[in-house]
Amino acid sequence: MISISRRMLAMLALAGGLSAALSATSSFAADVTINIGYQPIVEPSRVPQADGTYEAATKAKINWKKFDGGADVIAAIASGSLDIGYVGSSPLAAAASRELPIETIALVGLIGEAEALAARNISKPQDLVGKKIATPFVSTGHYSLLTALKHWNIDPKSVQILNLRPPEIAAAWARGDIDAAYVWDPVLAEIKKSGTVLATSEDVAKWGGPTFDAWIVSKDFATKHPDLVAAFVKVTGNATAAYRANPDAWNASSPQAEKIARLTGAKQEEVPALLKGYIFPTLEEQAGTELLGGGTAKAVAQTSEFLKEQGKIPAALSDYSPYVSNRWVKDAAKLSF
Amino acid sequence: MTLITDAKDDPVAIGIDHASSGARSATPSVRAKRRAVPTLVISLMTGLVLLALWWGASSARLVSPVFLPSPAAVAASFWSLLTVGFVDSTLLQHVGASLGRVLAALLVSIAIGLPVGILISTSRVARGILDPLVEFLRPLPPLAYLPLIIIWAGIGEASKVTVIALSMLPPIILSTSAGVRAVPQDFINAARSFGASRSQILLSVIAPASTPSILTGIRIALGTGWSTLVAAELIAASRGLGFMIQSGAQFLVTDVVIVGIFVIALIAFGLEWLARAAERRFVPWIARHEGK
Repeated sequence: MISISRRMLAMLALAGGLSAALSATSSFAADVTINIGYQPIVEPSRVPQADGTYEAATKAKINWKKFDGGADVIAAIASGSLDIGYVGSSPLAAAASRELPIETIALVGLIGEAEALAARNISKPQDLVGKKIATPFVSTGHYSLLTALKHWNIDPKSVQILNLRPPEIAAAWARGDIDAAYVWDPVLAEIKKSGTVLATSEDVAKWGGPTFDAWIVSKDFATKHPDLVAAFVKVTGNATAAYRANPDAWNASSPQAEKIARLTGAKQEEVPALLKGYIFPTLEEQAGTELLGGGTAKAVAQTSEFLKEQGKIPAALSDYSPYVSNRWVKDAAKLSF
Repeated sequence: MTLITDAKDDPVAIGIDHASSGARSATPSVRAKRRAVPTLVISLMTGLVLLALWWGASSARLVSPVFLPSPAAVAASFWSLLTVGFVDSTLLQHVGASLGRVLAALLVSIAIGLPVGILISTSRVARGILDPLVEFLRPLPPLAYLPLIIIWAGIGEASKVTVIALSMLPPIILSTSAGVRAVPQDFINAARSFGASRSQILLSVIAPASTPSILTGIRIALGTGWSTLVAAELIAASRGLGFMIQSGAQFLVTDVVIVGIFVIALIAFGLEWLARAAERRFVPWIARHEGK
């Protein structure tokens, strides 16, 4: 099913050693299938995904399903068709506020320039009034857009906010149907070519609306297969660590950039710049009180409070710590591969 | 029923149709007298039992409230939709946007469908040209051509109204042509013998005689148009019932979804009632016939 290359063999050898190391502590079932929902976003864990490292580390069959927005990932997890999913902080807050049985297992990155509000023929924010702005609903982009509008004292009702997914935004932008869009790379990179950026998520974070991307797991799956979840987090953390150790090695002609481009549809030469749109914390940094150890739950609470204030969700919870855990990054740190 | 039997050009068949529909409507009323419980009561009881089951299932927490919110939560959400609204518009604004689209599409499809239907039934050449087109369009599900309409007409109101109008056209065209073809030749001959012109025959004989069939077509068209609406509003709307439902689902606010479904059903019910009232007003002879 996978064409075997030298890299693949090396990977298998590595996995062999890994499973020998793990066999004492865990029972990795080879017949388990993990359904993982990913989004075509430019970030380091696309590389192990392309290499089949996750399959090798978990020794499970993995169904990778592509999603274009966090809302669809959440719906799939709610219905039980996904075990692990890639979502932004805003869909995560919406799901946790509805008390969906999910848990944040690892952070991908804090969103910086990877998401932005790009507009055509609009020079200052106040000109947005009456214009059509597209964004995928519930996404971090939607949240950042609402935060930016609030920062500029623009009533969201005075602009037309359209619910489009990134591929549809690219098409609508090309047709000239929309005046602005709050979206992420690689579609953002595409529309920036004929538009100007009014605000990036880095700006919005400074205005009090930080956003991040994270991996979540259904609690049911986490209870049944804790070792698989830890292995998943470890592989993800390794990819981040590899990028953090030497970002310059992930240049336009590197195999990493090629793999990321292949899975996301981004242009290979743009990948190095797109990777800089995120701040990727390592597993050790994530375990701390700033992030999964406490800070993330507070950020989710703030996001929920804002979504409630905007009338997007009916109620916010008082405590979001059941939905965020640093247990998995700690468990992953114990694994040696 | 009307569509099938009226399609025959034979006036005798029409006579049979009227007679048989009269007989059919007479039989249930006889049966109803024998029955102890009226149908309406049975229907109401079914609704109440379903409501009780819903209430029981949600209060016993059999399923998560995300999947099945309690009737009380749905009622509360209905109230907040009316007063505060959801996704930047109140329920009435959503309903207004949706109704506007369906009615605009209805006007467009009547404006196109009536002439096309008359042409198909009166001219052999027009039938040869238009009939295959209608038959091509009729079985197509709107979701199939929706992406194409978006490429052609963009994501504005035009594309939404186009999609809805396209789904409404076939029933109106078919029922118009069937209605016109079913006008008894005797009526036309009688008018001709009094020296009526072509336009007089069309306006004073064919138009009233085919109105019942056309009204039936509009009723069917309203049904299909209303069900296409939700699909049309899934793409790039910023207001409307379909849009409200989809946004509610994406934020996992299931009570808004359920309220939306009820409102759509209620409006469809209202439109059907209006169409029937129009039938009673404009073609009273049908009602009189059934009432006898």
